Amino acid sequence: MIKNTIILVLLFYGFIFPQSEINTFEKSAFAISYINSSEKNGLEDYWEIQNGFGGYFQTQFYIGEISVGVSLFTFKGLKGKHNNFSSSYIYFSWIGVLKMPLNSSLGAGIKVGTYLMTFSGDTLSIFQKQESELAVSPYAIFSIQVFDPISLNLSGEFITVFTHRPMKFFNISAGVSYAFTTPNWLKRLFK
Amino acid sequence: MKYTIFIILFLINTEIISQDFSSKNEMSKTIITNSELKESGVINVSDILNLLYNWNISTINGYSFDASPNNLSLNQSVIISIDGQEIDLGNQDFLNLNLIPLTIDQIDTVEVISFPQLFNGKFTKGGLINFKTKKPTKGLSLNLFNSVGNEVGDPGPYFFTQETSPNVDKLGYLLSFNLNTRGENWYLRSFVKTEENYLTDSAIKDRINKMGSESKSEMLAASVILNFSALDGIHHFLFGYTQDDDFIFFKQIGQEVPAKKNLKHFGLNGKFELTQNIGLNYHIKYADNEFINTSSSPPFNFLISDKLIFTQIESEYKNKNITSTFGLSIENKNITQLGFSNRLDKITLYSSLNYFFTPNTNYVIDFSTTKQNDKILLNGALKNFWAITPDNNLTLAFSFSQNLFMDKFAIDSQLYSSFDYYANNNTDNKTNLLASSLSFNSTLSRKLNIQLLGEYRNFFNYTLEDFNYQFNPINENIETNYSIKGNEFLKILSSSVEIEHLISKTVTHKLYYSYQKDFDGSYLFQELWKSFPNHKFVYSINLNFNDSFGIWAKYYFQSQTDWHQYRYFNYQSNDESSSTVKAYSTMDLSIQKWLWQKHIWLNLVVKDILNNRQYFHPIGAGFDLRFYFQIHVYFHSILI
Repeated sequence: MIKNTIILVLLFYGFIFPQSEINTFEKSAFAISYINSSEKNGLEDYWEIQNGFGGYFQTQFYIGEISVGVSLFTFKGLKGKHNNFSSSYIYFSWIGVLKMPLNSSLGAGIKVGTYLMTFSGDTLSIFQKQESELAVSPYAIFSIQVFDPISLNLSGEFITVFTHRPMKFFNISAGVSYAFTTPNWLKRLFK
Repeated sequence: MKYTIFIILFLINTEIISQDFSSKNEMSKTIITNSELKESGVINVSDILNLLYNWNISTINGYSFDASPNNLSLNQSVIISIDGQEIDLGNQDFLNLNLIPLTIDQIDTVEVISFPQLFNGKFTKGGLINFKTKKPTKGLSLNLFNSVGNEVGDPGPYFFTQETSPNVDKLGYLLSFNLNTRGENWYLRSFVKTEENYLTDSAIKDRINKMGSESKSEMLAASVILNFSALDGIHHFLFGYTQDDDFIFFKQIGQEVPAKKNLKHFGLNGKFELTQNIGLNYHIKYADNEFINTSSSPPFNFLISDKLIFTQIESEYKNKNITSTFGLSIENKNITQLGFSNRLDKITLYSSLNYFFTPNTNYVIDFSTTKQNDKILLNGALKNFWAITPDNNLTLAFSFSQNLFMDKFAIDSQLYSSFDYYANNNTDNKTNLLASSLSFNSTLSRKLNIQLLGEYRNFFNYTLEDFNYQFNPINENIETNYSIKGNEFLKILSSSVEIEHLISKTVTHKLYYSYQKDFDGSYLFQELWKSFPNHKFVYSINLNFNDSFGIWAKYYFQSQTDWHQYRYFNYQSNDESSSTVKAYSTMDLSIQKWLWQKHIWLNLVVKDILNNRQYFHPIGAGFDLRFYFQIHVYFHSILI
């Protein structure tokens, strides 16, 4: 409840202080992060989630910023009863950003994407080895520029995967991002 | 008696004057533009029905619909046409608009008529949808269109645990390609699409699997359009081909039958300008449709071939105040089923007069008569428009229409020979409808538009099908008792309000509410009419940040419906099935973005964000949160 409230407040500020039209797609960034994840809805009875990695590309939008990215996780079957599997969360996100002192910023947004799962096991058919499902995750991120163009990022997100019994994860991640002026060819593609 | 009523209405009507002809939404005619289709997340052509709020639609499988326009009929009898050429989709099943050889990126506008009137010589007794295709840009151009969809609820990793659940596959896959070229006085469009749909809901899957079929439907469709100017006229040729391997829902047996449809259409329509005021319109069409049972364990066998030749000629006179048409059409349909043939001949005479009585009043009078085999059918409509002030107008319309019951069911009747059914001999198999409509439209400061509508329907001497489906709890099969009953009648009153408000240059929102209720009628008709909701409420909002990015959202509510045909299901299935479809609400979201200087268009559509499991039909699939992604690629005017 508290984290949802914080995210809603930040989303509100993201709309109140949007990027001006002139800045749309001007600046972009690449980011990578290390993710600590924990499962919150019963999957932990069968699998143990391992720490993961993520990366995304972000650019300024008409309001806030948008990004596309992927987060990778592995799941280890408990007591050898269940096969291991890996997952890729491929998402598109929007974030509202609030500029803060000391070249820092606070943002909140929402990711929507597909949660791809690949199961290991020699006896599984091709159809059983792969599965995908819609996933949605509100998230918040704190960012501080250590030196131009590098920033440090710290973020938290709550992922819901809409399987029949929903899978829910809480992730904390830390990483770095590299900002740059969007090349003209890329701006033309976005517009 | 009915003719007397018709004539009296005509006389009364000529005393009433009434409107504004430049309005985008004429009397019961709605125009949906291509950009409106796109921004509202329409992917399949059949999704267009979700934008017609005054139509009652229901679906079993999610992509074929039973559609009743504006309380005009109990069963669907919608005319579908492309560029004015009627396309015979075969009406044995629910209306599957996806069978037309087009995708939404080909459509310039959709004209929807929801009140009986003449349209291109056809009397639109049960409504009409006309797809106007785009005119290509000069030179060579090509488009690509691809979409995929998915519904939530897969088991995920729980599949490998004791908490497993049935798998929910993707909803559909659509890929299309078209190549166009345009010269000075002509253009050519060529198009092909392939489409797949997966029926994964256990309600449908179980019925289909019993017939030894996979729960997947596949479609291939292609079309060629040639438009050219010659001999002082404009001519339009359309060839369309659709091959559909699907599951056709047969009301006669209450379940799906795996069947294949092959639809071929060759049509030429056009217009010669004889003088400045006089024109000659023509239309020639040949359609060859096949309908084949593909089930390995069929409840009955059929291979139906339906060949149709249609010719129409129409004179048109226009001056400053009057547009009048007079036309004749002849239709010959030859239906063969396993060697037995049945011939249906129709000759139709029609005339229309559109008269601008004063600069702000206008009458439209339509009349048509059809001789079909030995029977004569009469249809007429009177419309009066009155622009009270430049911003306020009033429209009053009446219509009388007749159908032959066995016309719509011509092909079905061939199949009926496989079943025992009871037809009431007291009926001449006609259906009669008297419809009237009063509409007030007001625009306030160009930012607020309000439309108030009141309508009346009187169905009389009506022939109805009475299905009584029984659920067999032992083998879980559906069994049917079926009969045809005549002399049925029903009277209905309905009203609606639609408010459209422009909040700012970038934000518009729209509110729609309607209420309909029968107040007199025969028992069967009144019971069957309960399958339509009494209340409907829709709210939509559209945010266009600029011409490159937009967000559209819609909230939809409809009240409970009761399906007389399934009235014993609760008891027979121990309440696992029900004849009642509960009131439901949905919230849909569509986000669109152009890329690469409008060469690429992306659209993400999320349906039923609230993730309430919804049922649209007593034996139909249940739907959860689902999402779709579509991409359109456009290359215009290359190789000029």
